[in-house]
Amino acid sequence: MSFSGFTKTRFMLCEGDDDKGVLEALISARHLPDFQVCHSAECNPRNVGGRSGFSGAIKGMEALSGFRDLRALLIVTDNDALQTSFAEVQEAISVNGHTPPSNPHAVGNMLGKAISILMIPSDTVAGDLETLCLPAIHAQWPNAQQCVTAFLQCSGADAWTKRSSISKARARSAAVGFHEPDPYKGIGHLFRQGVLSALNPCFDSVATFLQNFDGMCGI
Amino acid sequence: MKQLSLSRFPLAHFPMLTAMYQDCDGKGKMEIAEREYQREEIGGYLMIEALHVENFRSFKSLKLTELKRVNIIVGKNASGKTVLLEAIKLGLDATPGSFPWLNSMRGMVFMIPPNLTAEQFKEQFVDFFHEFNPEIPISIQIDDSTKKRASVRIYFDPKRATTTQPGIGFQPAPSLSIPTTIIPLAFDRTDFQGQKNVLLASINPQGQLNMEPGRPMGISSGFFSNAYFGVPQENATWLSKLSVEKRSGEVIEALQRHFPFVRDVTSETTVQGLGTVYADLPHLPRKIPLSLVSGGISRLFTLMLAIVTFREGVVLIDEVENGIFHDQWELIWKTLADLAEHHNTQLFVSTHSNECLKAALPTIREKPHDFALLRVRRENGQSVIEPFRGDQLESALDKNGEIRD
Repeated sequence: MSFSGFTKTRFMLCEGDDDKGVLEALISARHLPDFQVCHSAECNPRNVGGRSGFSGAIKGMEALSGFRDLRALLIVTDNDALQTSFAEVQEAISVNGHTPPSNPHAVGNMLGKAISILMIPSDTVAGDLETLCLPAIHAQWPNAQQCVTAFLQCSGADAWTKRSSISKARARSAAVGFHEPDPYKGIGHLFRQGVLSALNPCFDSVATFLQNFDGMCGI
Repeated sequence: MKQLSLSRFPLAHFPMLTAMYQDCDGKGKMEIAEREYQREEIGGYLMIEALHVENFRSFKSLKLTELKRVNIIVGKNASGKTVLLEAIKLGLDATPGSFPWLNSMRGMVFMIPPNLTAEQFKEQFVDFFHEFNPEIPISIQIDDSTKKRASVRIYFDPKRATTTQPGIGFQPAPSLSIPTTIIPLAFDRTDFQGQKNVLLASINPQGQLNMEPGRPMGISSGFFSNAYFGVPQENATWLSKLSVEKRSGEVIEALQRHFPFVRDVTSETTVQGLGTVYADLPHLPRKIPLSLVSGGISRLFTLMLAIVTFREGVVLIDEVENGIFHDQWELIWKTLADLAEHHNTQLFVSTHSNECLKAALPTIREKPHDFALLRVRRENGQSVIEPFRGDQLESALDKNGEIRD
């Protein structure tokens, strides 16, 4: 864990390090309102990542240094299951005694701080971070789409039932096959390094959400 | 009025204070509030559950509820951690003697010179009033776990003004040959039993400081400042008392869990006739005063003794980590918490050390509902406190997070 307290007035909790890298790059590239971005394993004493780590990450946050100066929290999660993803985050908030937002465009309350949930790629489209990022990956490596499609057909991954795993395999395969300096690097790192561009229009809706975040939260 | 013995007051630790008292009346018989700690059987375990402080030092207004058996206090330097401990101590003792005693715990001399004017008399006390304004009374209310309340209002009461008579009792300075009117400081008290009385700090007609003594409010308490490493005579008294009651073994065993090389601890009388706590160490041919073994060990032993001695009372510890090597901290939290639970003693413990705080986690995890975190900070020049429950404290520490501020 590397989260010991709040350092900014806006705090963003996401699922993993790739999410963190993409979101930080997006904020930086587009000069969006600044957030302290952490992923759930960083804030969770058991190092539980992903959406299942949100509850433990939220627990006890109010006693950490800097919470007093915090104005709003945003939880960013994959909308990989349209029927349940949002509700699971609501549960992670409410189980800690706070009031979750009633819908993805609403604001809840965490001890007087606004708390909201951002679904990616959007609240109406099922998918995940990689789904959101694929256009930016294809823009950087135009041959990636064709090559990766062929590779996944060959491996059989394109027939996986877990759709989020397919999109992860696509993004990962592209990075492995096209990023010669270090094929091991994840997409979060590639966005941080500017290899992939957060200015791609695929991020416009998320950027708009973040741009309007203060107004939505009334801060 | 009862004349009190200075021997009850741990002045040996504060030679300047001793000298000052002796100078004041020339005979060392200054009346001060009795600080004999009393364990009163009031019925059941009493604990401070709520605290309301007004106009005391850096606190303009403070309301705390849901205090627990072990209350951990954190905050930056000068945030008001020690003031919180002082407020509790003052609220539980509520005697005029509390003021010089609290100042002595900060290493300050409470000086009442002869020939003083009314303003000089008042000046001795203004530090205790918020923003040095004695026009607004200090008020402290303490609610115990049975919903009984003790309260004290402290204010200068012009209705009780007295006039000194220079030339009686001391040699006046030429400029002070006229009588001086002193407005006394009143401690208007209601103890946990509902009994009301007023104690005064004043100058008597002979020009001598008069601190009316009084009993504690109904919950006994011990205060251990950050620089307090124990008074050997006091520790010896406590240890002897516990030994007679066959209750010393628990404390000695607890000390031995931390420091197995201490074979035994006993209360002995030195050739000067003073009681002192001695340790039996295996490699030495004779016992040695515990305070010579280690200041930190002596301090820890003092705290353990206090928790047992002030059972069903309150022990206030400023900077618990002082003098203790870090590898002991985890066990110390457990020892202090276990002793506190066993003897129904409530603890208020401040610390600066994040390492020390983190060492508390295993103990907090065992019984989070026995703990509270009180984070003190300054806001607009005033001390304010953010309280947190034990489970919140546990979770924050579990994150390896920074909780001090």
